Amino acid sequence: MSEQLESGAPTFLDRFPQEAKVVRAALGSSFVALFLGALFGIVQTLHRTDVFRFMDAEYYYTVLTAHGVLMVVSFTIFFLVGIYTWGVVRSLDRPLENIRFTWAWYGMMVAGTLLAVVPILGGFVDTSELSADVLFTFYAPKQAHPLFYGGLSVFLIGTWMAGADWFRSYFAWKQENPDERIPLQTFMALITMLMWYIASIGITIAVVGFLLPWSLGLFNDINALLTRTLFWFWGHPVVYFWLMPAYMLWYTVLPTISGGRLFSDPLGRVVFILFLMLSTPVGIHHQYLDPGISEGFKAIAMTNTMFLLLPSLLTAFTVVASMEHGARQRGGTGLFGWLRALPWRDPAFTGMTLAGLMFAAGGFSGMVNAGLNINYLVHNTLWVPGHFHLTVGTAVALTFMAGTYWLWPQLTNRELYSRPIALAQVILWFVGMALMSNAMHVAGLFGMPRRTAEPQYEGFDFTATFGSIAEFDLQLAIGGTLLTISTLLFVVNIALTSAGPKVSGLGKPLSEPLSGPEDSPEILDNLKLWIVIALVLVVLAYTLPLASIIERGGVFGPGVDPVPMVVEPLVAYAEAAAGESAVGRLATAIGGVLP
Amino acid sequence: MKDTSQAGILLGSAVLFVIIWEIRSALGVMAGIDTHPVIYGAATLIFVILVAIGLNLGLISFGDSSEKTS
Amino acid sequence: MHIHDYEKIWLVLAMLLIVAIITTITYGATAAGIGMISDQEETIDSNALDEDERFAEPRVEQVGENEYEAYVIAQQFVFSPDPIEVPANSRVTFYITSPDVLHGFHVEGTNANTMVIPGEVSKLTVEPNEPGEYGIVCNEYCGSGHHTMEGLLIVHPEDEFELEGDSDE
Repeated sequence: MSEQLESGAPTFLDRFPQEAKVVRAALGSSFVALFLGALFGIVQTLHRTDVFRFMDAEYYYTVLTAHGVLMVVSFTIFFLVGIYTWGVVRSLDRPLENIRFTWAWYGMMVAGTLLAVVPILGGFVDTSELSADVLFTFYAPKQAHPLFYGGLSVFLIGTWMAGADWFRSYFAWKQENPDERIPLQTFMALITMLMWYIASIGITIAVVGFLLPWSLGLFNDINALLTRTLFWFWGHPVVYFWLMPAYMLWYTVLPTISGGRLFSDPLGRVVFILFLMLSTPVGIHHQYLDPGISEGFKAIAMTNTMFLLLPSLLTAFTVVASMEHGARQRGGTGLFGWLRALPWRDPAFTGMTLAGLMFAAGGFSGMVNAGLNINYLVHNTLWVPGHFHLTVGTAVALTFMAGTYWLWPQLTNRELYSRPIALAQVILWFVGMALMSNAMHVAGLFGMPRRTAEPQYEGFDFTATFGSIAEFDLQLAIGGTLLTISTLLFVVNIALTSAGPKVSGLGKPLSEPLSGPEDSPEILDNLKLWIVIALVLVVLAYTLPLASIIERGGVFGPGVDPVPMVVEPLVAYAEAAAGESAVGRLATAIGGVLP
Repeated sequence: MKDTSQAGILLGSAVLFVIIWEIRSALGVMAGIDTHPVIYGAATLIFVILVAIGLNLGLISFGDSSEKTS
Repeated sequence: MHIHDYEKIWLVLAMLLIVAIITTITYGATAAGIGMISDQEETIDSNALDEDERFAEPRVEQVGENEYEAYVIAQQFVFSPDPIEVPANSRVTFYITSPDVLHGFHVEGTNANTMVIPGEVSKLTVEPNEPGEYGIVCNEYCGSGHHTMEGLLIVHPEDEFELEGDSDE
């Protein structure tokens, strides 16, 4: 019956109760964000396709900001800190150095999220000054309430502290184990955080150096292109921040649940090092159509980006090879027949496999985005959300959900409430996403814009080269609805799991790789070397473009005023804006203190 | 006697449906061939259901029959 | 480090794919001559567009035998001029800027697509060959009325085209 190694082992909760508590908290926060984000998502889906509209169009942008931030900041990153805490503690086989410090960074992340969410939701309240209808990308000169930028900053600091926590564990472990190779899960967590620290440079300068003081009224002018470029300095590596925990699950958990062993530990290290080095020097590929950045810099970004295909293609090989190994261990034979020997009834296995399958499609649509002049056809169209719902929306999200089905019982000592429902959930996600993102890709090719509340225009019609716009709108709505149902199934299943009776023996050890860390060249563990190379590449990619932007337009921009994003009737806004001054804004922000 | 588990059939049906449905977009975008959505959708569904039934009844299988352990 | 033979083959194929993709894109950039939006134009004071000779009066102007320039302002929530009228079989260079926030400028059904950033001027040269009416969509979120922001590009048959107002003889 069972393909597992000796289960009946003590669980993570049994061995590390304090750490399990923090991991549960982080994962739990992530699921709350997912749930709320999904509710906003279905509102959007039905509104923009004109299937069901119950609010004024302007609120769409509030909904969209909430959906974006909750999904790609809260859901993904809370999950990362949870799963990496689990991975580091488990692979080093030692408790965290200071559990109070751990709760402190978790608390920072929660506080930051709440601080940012308040002004976002304030966008629904017309009379309030509190708003942040700036979308997840918050490009200046659109301006959000200072709490929005402040909240994001606090959240970010929390994540830096989480990385410090894991480095601390690593250094302590290394003292006691000087001759050992870094265990793979810890290695992956540390490399991810090194990438994150580098990436954070851009967003920190943008937010703390410019957007936050600007929103407080400390200065008026801003260089829109500069802050946008600094955003994308971070904006590309953040997608790998989302992806690398999923890769960690594919490399270290998926082989075991396939019934086998990881094909190659060293290749896993190589892949993560490639991400460390290549994730950041590519950000300009999000700005191919920006004026003010030369073609040369864009071409460099393009070439760097294409090489990012490599770690993902290598992963595809390793993951499939590991699965095949597992399948043959379970008795599978034949050129393709081994596929049938895999544990398809296991929602964790099936979920991760479907996620990986979709990632292949998402990766290729990303290559189209990255294709410099090809980007003209897809920039800011619905194709782009089609792409990222396959990548972060499935490769990452579905892997996280599948991984939860495997891990949550070991964090709670309770059996998964329903395996069949979990299996149905992951399949429903796959089908729903296929329908929704297919419609998005096609409509995008027809020119349908993204981030638009009601893309039904008066002066012209979109030309559908096959089918019709109405049909793709409907397909999008159906896909989105299936996804929402799937999300609810996931959340309820996990909630009911936590409400179930405690059981023992749910521990599931992980198998050892076929080619283990001892086969891995020691240079791969030389973190200092890789971070130096990564920094050099970033300097090469960004110094000249940033210098050029500043030299051409000035640090504070060639005369660009802030535009606060308050949702209210445009007339009222115009009146309010006419009467405002920077001092007045500052006074309002700090609560009535007049100079 | 069937070679494929029920979970496998469900999953395989979902994947097959998605693949065939995506082919419609490929035909449309790359070959300029327009297909009626309802007719194409119904045909896909019928095909997938027939394959599922066939697998379930053991009428079709793929690969070698292997020792199943789950 | 032991690398399986299949993995080596896969690695080589992956590198070939990457090189092939880069080559295709380079072909588009060089032989097919598709330039990217660039930094050729100087920055501009977005609060003082009326002091710029081009944007004080958004318009289409003839600058050569078959060459035109279109000076376009994208702002919340309109494009000026609207409609933009040009003749077929010509070369039209758009210069587009904004006095307020980021916008997009996308001529629907074509690859004429650019960001519009306050403080910067987007320069985009196109060859409109087919007469017709093309919708212009703002595809970068610009505020609560973003979804109402649309314009029109009218490409007149060559012999039917006449510039409004003064025309250069």
